[in-house]
Amino acid sequence: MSDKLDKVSAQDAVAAPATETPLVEVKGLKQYFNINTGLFKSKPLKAVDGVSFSIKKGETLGLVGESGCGKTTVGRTLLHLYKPTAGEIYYNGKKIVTKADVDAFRKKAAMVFQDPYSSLNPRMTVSDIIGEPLDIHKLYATKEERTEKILELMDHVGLNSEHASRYAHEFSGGQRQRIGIARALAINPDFIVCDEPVSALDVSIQAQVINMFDELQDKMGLSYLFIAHDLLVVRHISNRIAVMYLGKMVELADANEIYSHPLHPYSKALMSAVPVPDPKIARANQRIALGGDIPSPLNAPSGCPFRTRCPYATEQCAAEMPEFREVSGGHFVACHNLDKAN
Amino acid sequence: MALLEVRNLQTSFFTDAGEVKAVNGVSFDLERGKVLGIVGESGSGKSVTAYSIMQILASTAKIKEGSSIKLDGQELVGSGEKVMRTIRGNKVAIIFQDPMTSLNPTYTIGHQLMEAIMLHTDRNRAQAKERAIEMLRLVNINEPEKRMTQYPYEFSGGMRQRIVIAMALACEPDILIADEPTTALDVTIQAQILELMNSLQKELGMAIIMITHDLGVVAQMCDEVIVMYAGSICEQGTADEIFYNPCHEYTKGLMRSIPTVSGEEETLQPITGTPIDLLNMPTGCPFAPRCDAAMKICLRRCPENMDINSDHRAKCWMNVKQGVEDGSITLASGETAEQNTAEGGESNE
Ligand SMILES: Nc1ncnc2c1ncn2[C@@H]1O[C@H](COP(=O)(O)OP(=O)(O)O)[C@@H](O)[C@H]1O
Ligand SMILES: Nc1ncnc2c1ncn2[C@@H]1O[C@H](COP(=O)(O)OP(=O)(O)O)[C@@H](O)[C@H]1O
Ligand code: SF4
Ligand SMILES: [Mg+2]
Ligand SMILES: [Mg+2]
Repeated sequence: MSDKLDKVSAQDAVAAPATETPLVEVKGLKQYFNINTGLFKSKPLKAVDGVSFSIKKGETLGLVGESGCGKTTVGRTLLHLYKPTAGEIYYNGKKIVTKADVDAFRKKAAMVFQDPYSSLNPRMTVSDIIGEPLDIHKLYATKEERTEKILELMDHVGLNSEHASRYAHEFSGGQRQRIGIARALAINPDFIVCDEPVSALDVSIQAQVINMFDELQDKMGLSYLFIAHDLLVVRHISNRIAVMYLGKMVELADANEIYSHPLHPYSKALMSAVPVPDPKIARANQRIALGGDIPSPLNAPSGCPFRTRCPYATEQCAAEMPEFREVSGGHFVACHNLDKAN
Repeated sequence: MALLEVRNLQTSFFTDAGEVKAVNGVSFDLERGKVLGIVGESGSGKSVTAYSIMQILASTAKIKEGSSIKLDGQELVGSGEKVMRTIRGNKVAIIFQDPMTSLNPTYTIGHQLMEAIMLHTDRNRAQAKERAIEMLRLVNINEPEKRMTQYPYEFSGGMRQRIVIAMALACEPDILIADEPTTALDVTIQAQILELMNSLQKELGMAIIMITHDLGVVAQMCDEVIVMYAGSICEQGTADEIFYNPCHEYTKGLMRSIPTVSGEEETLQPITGTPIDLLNMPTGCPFAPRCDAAMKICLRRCPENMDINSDHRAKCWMNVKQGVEDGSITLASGETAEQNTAEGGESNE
């Protein structure tokens, strides 16, 4: 019961004044990788090409799109695991410029990865894994304090603290994901990039981990950038959802709004493709088939990135990239032909 | 007679740690032209069921005495490798999650398609080539003549899976077994593949066994559904019965643990506890240790298969409890619920 109340109040806080400074804000973020295309020749791979969004305190922004569209790169660049090619990142309204700014941000921002198997070192014990960020950021005074913190974190994510000296490979997938989350929580972050954290888990275990993310958010006021490909899961956990295509953001809106009334031709196809767990609805669903394959980011089309597969594309779409503009309160879309498409 | 009749299938792995009963008494029918879904968490025995039908199991595995798999009336268990070679690819084809399981990276797509066609049919080279091109066109590969000369690495993951489907269907099998065919693919590509399988199934009239852990895929594709838990079927029925009238606590738990289409749920209700250890099976209902509704009898005795209606069976004591409560099952005086159900179970056979 109290759980429900907490959740409502957390959402109210999110819907609060629009003037509130976002916790994290990204403007025109670009990440180009140099790819060797031959002897002494290279070409930029535009993994992320001008992405802007903001995340409020206590908010979850979902990030979806086909694999290779740049979701992970957005998360990693945002955390400065890669140096941004261009763009600005603000934390609590302050632009991150200097090395000291980056360090300060990293003390408050963490990442949880998809694969609980490969992202944890099998030779480390649970207490080593969770303790590592504590060591890196020197977050304890005595050895006893370190141990105490580790046990507290394990308790937080529902791991039996008696298992602190066990190795990661002794745990099931869901438990390993809990270890990964405890490790992320070790720095007492206020922002976590969750990169497909439940994709590798069975549905029943998935629900446990999703609920844990929810509870931690309510308790600690955390903000999430939540990357996943299961759209029903993303809608469940997110306040707002952003859709990416080939390095660009094509649509961003309230989670329920974008799921039930997508405006961009790509989002429309994406949402219609979601396999819904309800036979009558699933059989009646009109799926929008997309022809062709997603182009390589090494040879991205001119103008709108979606134009090669878009049923509404016009000459203008090849000539210029549509502006990412607000079409109604908080609903952003980048498309020249919204009238035709809707 | 159903196209495929599986009865009391028991497949075990004999390991150093002991006998792993991966499939433990599975029975079902597959009718011609129908799509049967098999769902369940990882390790529940979905793939081993499929591999048992194809007899492509690891050498440590054994299909045990008393198991029966009849295809068109022909007993496959114990039929020997020679017979199985006439079945695999011809009458029953299988595709896997990773299309590279079925493709050789060192040969062209055309070569591999033609090989498969010539192996399973009496077409000559020219005819096989024609058929291969026709199949590529059927699975929506553009410029199939040109694509024939390309290698697997020149195709995207979704295209490779379509090629593998083309290869599997080239010999017009009666049954296509698809083991998590879209799990590794993006939703829009998944939708393409599922749509393709649907239309080919209707066109060619074959039956499909669709193995997946995704309830959305089941809802979209399947006429009938089997829910597996710890190597046995805990519930089976039409898709509508399984989704709208689940009668096993595990199935109910699965449905509660996923976000709904309406998206109105506040919190998901996970199934608690940890997945089963096949080396340490409980005496009663295999799901009892994780079941919130478990009663004393659940821990003591494994429930029989009970008919919910003509389209639906489940192995869960809750149905007996409810039956007693709503009066549809009457207890003779002095009789315990336990005895009563044992009889009820038998009369249902
Ligand atoms: N370190 C890297 N070096 C070169 N290319 C990369 C690197 N990381 C990602 N890419 C490329 O950038 C694009 C976006 O990748 P990614 O962000 O991982 O996508 P997503 O997470 O949406 O699947 C892909 O084409 C990928 O191959
Ligand atoms: N080669 C093997 N040796 C021993 N046990 C195996 C082997 N292959 C599968 N198993 C066991 O059989 C059970 C069922 O596996 P599987 O059919 O692959 O599950 P699913 O496809 O439902 O995920 C699992 O518990 C697994 O550990
Ligand atoms: S801008 Fe043009 S090509 Fe891009 S989505 Fe809109 S209509 Fe399609
Ligand atoms: Mg990624
Ligand atoms: Mg499997």
